[in-house]
Amino acid sequence: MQDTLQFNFSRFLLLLKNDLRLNHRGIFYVALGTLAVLLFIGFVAAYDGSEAPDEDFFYSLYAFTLLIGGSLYTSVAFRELNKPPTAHLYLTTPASTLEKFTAKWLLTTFGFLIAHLLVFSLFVAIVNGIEVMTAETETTLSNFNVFADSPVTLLMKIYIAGQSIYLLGAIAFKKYEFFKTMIAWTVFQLALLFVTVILFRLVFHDFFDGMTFGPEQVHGVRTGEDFGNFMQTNFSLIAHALFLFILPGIVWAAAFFKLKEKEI
Amino acid sequence: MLEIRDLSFYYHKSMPLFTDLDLAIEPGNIYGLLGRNGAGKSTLLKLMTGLLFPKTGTVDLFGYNPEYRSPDMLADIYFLPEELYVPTVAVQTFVDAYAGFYPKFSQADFEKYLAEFSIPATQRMDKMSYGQKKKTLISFALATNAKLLIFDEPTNGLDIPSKTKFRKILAGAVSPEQTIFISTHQVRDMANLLDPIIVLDGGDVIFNQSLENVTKNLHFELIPTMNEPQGVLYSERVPGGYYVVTENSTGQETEPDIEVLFNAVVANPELMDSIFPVTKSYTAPV
Repeated sequence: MQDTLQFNFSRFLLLLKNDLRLNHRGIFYVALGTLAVLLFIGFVAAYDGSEAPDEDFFYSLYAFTLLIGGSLYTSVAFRELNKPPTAHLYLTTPASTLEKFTAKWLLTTFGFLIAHLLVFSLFVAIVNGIEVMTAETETTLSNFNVFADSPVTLLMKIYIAGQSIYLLGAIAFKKYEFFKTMIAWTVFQLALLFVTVILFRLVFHDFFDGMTFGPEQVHGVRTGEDFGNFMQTNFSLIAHALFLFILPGIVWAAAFFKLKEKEI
Repeated sequence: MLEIRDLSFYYHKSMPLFTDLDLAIEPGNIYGLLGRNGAGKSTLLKLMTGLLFPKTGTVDLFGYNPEYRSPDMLADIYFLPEELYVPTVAVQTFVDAYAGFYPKFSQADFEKYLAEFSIPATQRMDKMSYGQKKKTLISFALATNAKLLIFDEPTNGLDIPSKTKFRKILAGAVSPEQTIFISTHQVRDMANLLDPIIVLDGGDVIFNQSLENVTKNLHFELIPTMNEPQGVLYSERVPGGYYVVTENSTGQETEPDIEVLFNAVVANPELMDSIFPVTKSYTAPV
């Protein structure tokens, strides 16, 4: 196990460099393609005769491209493992499982976030530039600011949490990783929801009247208002912590062990 | 260097491939791993390098358990599979990408081997023919100066001059600390190179002998007719007569034909076992 957990920084850097060096063409074309699609949408928005694209437009587009693009990119992060010859080269490359996993993890989390932000910022600058050039009257440009109190940081956190699932899928599935992960994740959530509802119904059975909430008051607690407040404050906090911090940790650990056990 | 003890492996539980397989290999040799199709040669190579995990038993390579894929262990082996993959880059870019993982890699050696195979270093690897890719990767493998080089069918896809060059390069490349392990069906391509010979059959190592032992114990001869076959362990018809293998009772050493030796071993494993008493049993390295 110690061999698996070895970490040598120069080997790690070499892995990172190789991933970029050997896949630079693919990465470049994906970035170019994304920018082209974004620009097309931007042009349509800029020329639809109405006002300049507002912040909501940019944030929605940012969220969409980040979450979908990132999940797609993460899903193919371990494409080397899909075919025996590439898996052979990858698994026999002298680096530990931890080094290999961390390199892919870094590229698909912060690597993607930075690259996406650069491409998106370029897109915003181009769209705003076009707006300035084409506007017949004075126009107000939209501000896309990552560091301001914007949804961008929350979206980044959500992306990193969701990325963990797609990273596990990238190792676990051999083909159509993105779709298989989506299906597996949906089935898992439905199963979890089902179990949660059953457990909830059993644990809080006093608060229920059949399958609906009631009677009005149980053990001095008003089932409607008090329970709603409790759920809003505590449960959302728990769910927040579960999704953003605990879930990714567990899933990344599972992905690491899956990689460690990979055979060809 | 490598010790395999009581190894069992299967792809499907109902069809075990290896059961209690034992094998020990020592440095300084070019081992030839021979076996029929489906005997498990490639699987054994994968088990040796941690690409597959044994169901039971142990594999010890340089004191490491290959399952953990230690970087130090991997830096001392280079396994060239039969089915090749090369990235879509030039030869030197590939070297820049992977040589750093092998502390003993020699750029000068690589260029020397590449020149011997007449491969230009500026060529894109994905645009090469299968034979050129193989020659490039063979050059890279040799230049890593790894302690264990594993080649799965290395001469498949090579033209005749390249096979000759491969033999020449390999004969000169192996140092006393190195071991080359070659799995092949093309034994004639490897004439005078493979020693010892390991034969895998029926899920077990049925033969593991040096050529010195083979020539001491077996006699290989081409005879015109088979009128009075006496003490013949194996024979096969060849142009000009019969190639026969008999027990060497005279002490006179003859050059063994590896293909005939393989056929003889597979045809008479029990008989070979009586001639080579330690053939199948595991011998711990001294």
